[in-house]
Formats: sequence, structure tokens, C-alpha cells
Amino acid sequence: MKLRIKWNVKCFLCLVPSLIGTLIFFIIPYVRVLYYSFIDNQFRRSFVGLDNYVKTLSNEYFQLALKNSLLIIIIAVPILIISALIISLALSFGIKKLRALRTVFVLPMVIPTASAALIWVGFFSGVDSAFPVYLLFIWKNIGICIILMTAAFTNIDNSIFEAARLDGANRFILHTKITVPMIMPTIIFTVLLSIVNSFRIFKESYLYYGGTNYPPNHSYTLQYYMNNNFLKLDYQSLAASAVLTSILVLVIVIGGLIVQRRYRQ
Amino acid sequence: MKKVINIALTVVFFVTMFVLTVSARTIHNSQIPNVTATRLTREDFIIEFEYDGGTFKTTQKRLAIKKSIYDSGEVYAVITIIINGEERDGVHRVYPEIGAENEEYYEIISGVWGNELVVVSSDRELTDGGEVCVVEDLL
Amino acid sequence: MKKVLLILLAMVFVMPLVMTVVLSFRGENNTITLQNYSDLLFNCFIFYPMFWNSVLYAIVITLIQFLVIIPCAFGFINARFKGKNILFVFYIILMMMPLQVTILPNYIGLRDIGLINTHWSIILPAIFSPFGVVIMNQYMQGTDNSVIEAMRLETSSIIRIIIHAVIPQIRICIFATGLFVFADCWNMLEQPMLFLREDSLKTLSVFIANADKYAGNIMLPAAVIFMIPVLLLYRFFNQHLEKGLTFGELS
Repeated sequence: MKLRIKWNVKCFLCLVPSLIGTLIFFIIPYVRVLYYSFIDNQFRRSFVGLDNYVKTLSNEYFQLALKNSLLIIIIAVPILIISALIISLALSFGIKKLRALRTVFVLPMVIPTASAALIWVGFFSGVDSAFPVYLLFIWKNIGICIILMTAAFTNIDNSIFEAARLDGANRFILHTKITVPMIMPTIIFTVLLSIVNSFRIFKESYLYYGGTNYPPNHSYTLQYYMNNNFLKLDYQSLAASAVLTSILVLVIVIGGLIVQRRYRQ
Repeated sequence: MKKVINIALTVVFFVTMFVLTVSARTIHNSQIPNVTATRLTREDFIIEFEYDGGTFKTTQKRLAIKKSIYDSGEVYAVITIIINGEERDGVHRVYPEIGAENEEYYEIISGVWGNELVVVSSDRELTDGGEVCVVEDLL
Repeated sequence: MKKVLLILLAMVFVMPLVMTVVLSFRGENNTITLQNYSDLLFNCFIFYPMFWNSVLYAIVITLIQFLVIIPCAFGFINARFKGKNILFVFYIILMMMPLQVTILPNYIGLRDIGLINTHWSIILPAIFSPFGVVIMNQYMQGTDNSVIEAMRLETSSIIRIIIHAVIPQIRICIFATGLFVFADCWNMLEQPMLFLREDSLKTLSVFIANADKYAGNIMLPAAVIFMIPVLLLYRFFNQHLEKGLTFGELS
């Protein structure tokens, strides 16, 4: 019994370096940001309650940024998921030799953003909408979605397909009624991952607009807002918007995990 | 087999980058004019002064430029130009006005500052505003 | 029919890359020239420190991160304590936070310790990135306990157990994780821009982002050179990517 406890303790100790690091570099700083969001000034440090939050939420730039970020989630992510789904289906259930093509779709994931953005600019120069950035996002992220989905497909039991085929189902019905619902947990996770990645879209957007801090209105997202506040040393607004953004992400992630758990039943 | 190719490619790439890192500046310098330069000195000249009653000569030290440099036709001075965020040497054409002369030198009246480096010789043609590599500083 | 469509799509996908390489050789009047590369390699000397910085950061961060996340994943699998699942969910939430949210806290913390404008300001936060922990954990769930039990009979030093029993089993996972982490670091843009002031410490990604500051048409050649190390690494581990990536089985 004693040995068991000793083993347990040792295993726990293994976690310690990571925990300490996370504590120092993520948790404690985050608490400080929280603290900053409630004070008015670096020097006077007087508690102002929710003032900063009100100021941020009513800032028209913040609202624009929020709208753009949400637009990306609502528009780009579904396109991404559906495309990935179609391609995964084609790769997994189509002709076997096409497996090699999967490498091609994964490649954008590995290519550094900086390199890809340059060509994108050249190709889409003169297009005045947020669409090129959406496309860049889809192009980059479709690889990981395809990997996850094709991996999930291989986990489905083949007998189900046999049974369906015996019942006379054709390809289309087969896939929509059986295959897709069976990998719902994976699909939900992919959606979650894509939403989270859409918040990371800053790098792509920044490079696409040539490193300017003030892109056209349709592309001004939350990250730009925070970045600009950072450069202006406006720590209060930055802190408030960071906390708000993290709450948004938290809600999305927890919501997604709950939905996924439901589907697993 | 595939593994060997991969390792070979990686090694080749990084070795190339390393070689380039070490030798890039040398290669660059071989592409631009290599010049030798010298500072202007003050030399003794016999200067004539006029006054009420005639002229009188005296010896004074004046800013001088070697005759060989001036007679070659084009005089260039070394300046610092900024390329790609770095300070590098360049040349710009100067037009010195000369006055008195002695055995080896011309007196400079105007056109060049006293503390400038002037080009003595160059291994290829110079262009105004171009970059050079100062090989030797003859002082 | 489907086959043709798919191949067409694949070609569209690769096109940006191919175009990047092709256009990097373009000179005046659409001629093929090496002038751009020459401008970059022989005229823009700040490129080299930035290149080697990128390499340094990526390699150092990847290697040290292994030292942190392998024991961590091992502990997550084998230790039993209350709140283990919550801790893991916590890591996942942390992983999913957008970069901007964590960058400000990091900056303030580093500034107070006095590490801004040093190599460590990039390396230290990146080592403890929760991304590696989560991925490693997923991979480690497939390890065979019997081997661990066998090792436990021989020695009580946990380090030796990990080295001899666990690592050989998950070699592929280590490589795959290494690839992801390396690509992630290689791509880093915000941290070098915000935490570093001196050009000689910055990375190649920053160079490309600011490429119009420099003379000549050096953006594309720089982008091509930037792509090469990641592609090389990718070639190494192409086949191993799929194994173990069944994220659907979270906690």
C-alpha cells in the first residue's frame, strides 16, 4: 500500500515542472490582467469597478472588432467544416489511391504563414472585402480538419456499412444518414478547433495587409483591437478586452465540450 | 533510402546557409569597387598676399590634395550611406577648387571638407552615390 | 469524375506554394533571374542572424518542451488524485485561448523580471505552452501499462522508468509532437515583435513581415527560404501524422 502511495506521489511530481511554468507564465499574469482591468491607472491604482468594461463595450472600435470576429466564426468556419467533410469523405471512401492527395491538403498547415500570405496578396490584390483572409484561413486549417475526420472514419466499424448496403442504401444516403452522424463527436471537436483557430487568424490578416495596424474596416478583428491598445500602452482597455475575449472563448469551448459529451452518449 | 535522402537534404541546406552566413559579406565586397583612401593633409604653400605697396610672399599651411588625385579627373570622397538598416561606406563626387600649388600638392580653396577621406585609387569605375569597400586607409 | 475534381482541387491547393517559389525568381519584365536571391543573400546581412534565431528558438523550445511535457503527460496518465480531470480541462481551455489574451500577461510578467529583449523572453513562455501537454497526453493514453509495471519491479527511479519503458513506445508520437511544436515556433510572429527590440534577436518571420523596409525584391526569396526547414522536417514524419490523432476521445 505504501508503495502505491509513493508511486502516486512520484507521478504527481512529474507534473510539477509543467504546473510551475504554467503558473508563472500563464496563471499569475492572467490574474494580474484581471486586476488591471479593474483599476483605472498604473500609478494611482484605484479600484473603479466595471468602468473599464463599460468603456470597452461601448467603444465603437471594440464593437466593430467583435462583429468582425464573430462574422468569421459564422461564415468561414462552416465553409471550412463542410469542405473538409466532403474532401475527407472523398478521400476515405473514394478510390484508395487518392490517399496520397491527403499530403497535399495537409501541406498548407505546415507552411509558414509569412510565406503563404505574400502570394495571397499578389493574387487577390484589389479585392476589397474580408474574403481573401477567410480563404487563407480555410486553406491553412483544412489540413488538420481532414486529418481528424479521416482518422475518425477509420474508427467506424465496417459491418455497419455492410448492413446498410444490404438494405439497399445508395452512396448519398449512406454517407449522410450513417457516416456523418457516427463521427459527430469528432466533427464537433473540429468545429471547436476551427473556431479557436479563427481567433488565431491575426497572423494571417496582419501579414496580408502588409503589417499595418489599421486594416480596412471589414477586417478589423478583436486581435487588432488588443494589439493596438498594447502599442498605445493603454493597459486598462487591453486588460478589459482581453478578459472579455477570454470569457467569449471560454463560453464557446465549454459549450462545445458539453455538446460533444451529449453526442457521445 | 528515403530517410537518407531527407538527412542529406537537411544537411546540405544547413551547411549552405552556414557557408553563406560566414562568407556573404566577403562575396558582397568583391562585387563592389574596392578603394584605397586617405585623409587630406595640411601642407606648406607659398602664398602671395597683396597690400598697399606690393605683394609679399609667405609660407603657410593650407589644406592640400595630392596632385595625382586631382589630376586623375574625378575626385570622390568617402561617405557613410545606410543600406538595409546598416551603415556602409559609399562615395560621392566632390569638386575641389584649387589655388596655389607646390611640388606634390594643390591647395584646396573650397569644395571639400578638411576631415574627409578622399579616394586614392579604385579597382573599378566609381559612381556617384554608389557603395564601396574601403580596403586601405592610408594615413 | 470525382477523381478528376479532387486532383484539380489538390492542384489549386498547392498553387500558392508553387507560385511563391516561381515568382521568387522573377526579375524585370518577367525574366527569370537570380537577382532577388542575390539581393537577399549578399546585400541584406541582417537576414542571417534572423534566420539562425528562428532555427535556434525553434530547436531549443522544442527540445526543452519535451523535458517538460513528457513527465507531465506521464503524471497525468499514472497519478491518481482528485481534480485530475479538471486540471486537464483547464489545460485545454488554456490551450484554446487566443494568443492576444496571454501575450499581455506574459509581457508584463517578463518586463518585471527584466527579461524583455533577451532570448529568454521568447523561450520561457513557449516552453510551457499547454498545447504540447494536451497533445502528448492524447498520445500517451495508448501506452501499455504492463511494460511500466515490469519496469517498476526493477527500479524505483521514475526517470529511468520513463526513459526505458515509456519513450520507446511513443517514439512516433514524440516525433509528431515535435513537428507540430517546431512548426508552431517557426511560425511565431507576435512574440518576437512585441518582446524583442533589437533586430539581431528577432526571427525570420518578423523579417518577412517587415520586408518592404529593405532594398530590392527580397520578400519572396526570403519566404521560400523560410519554408524550407519546415518542409524538410515534414518530409521526415509524413507517414506518422495520423497515428494517435483521435481527439474524439477526449477525457
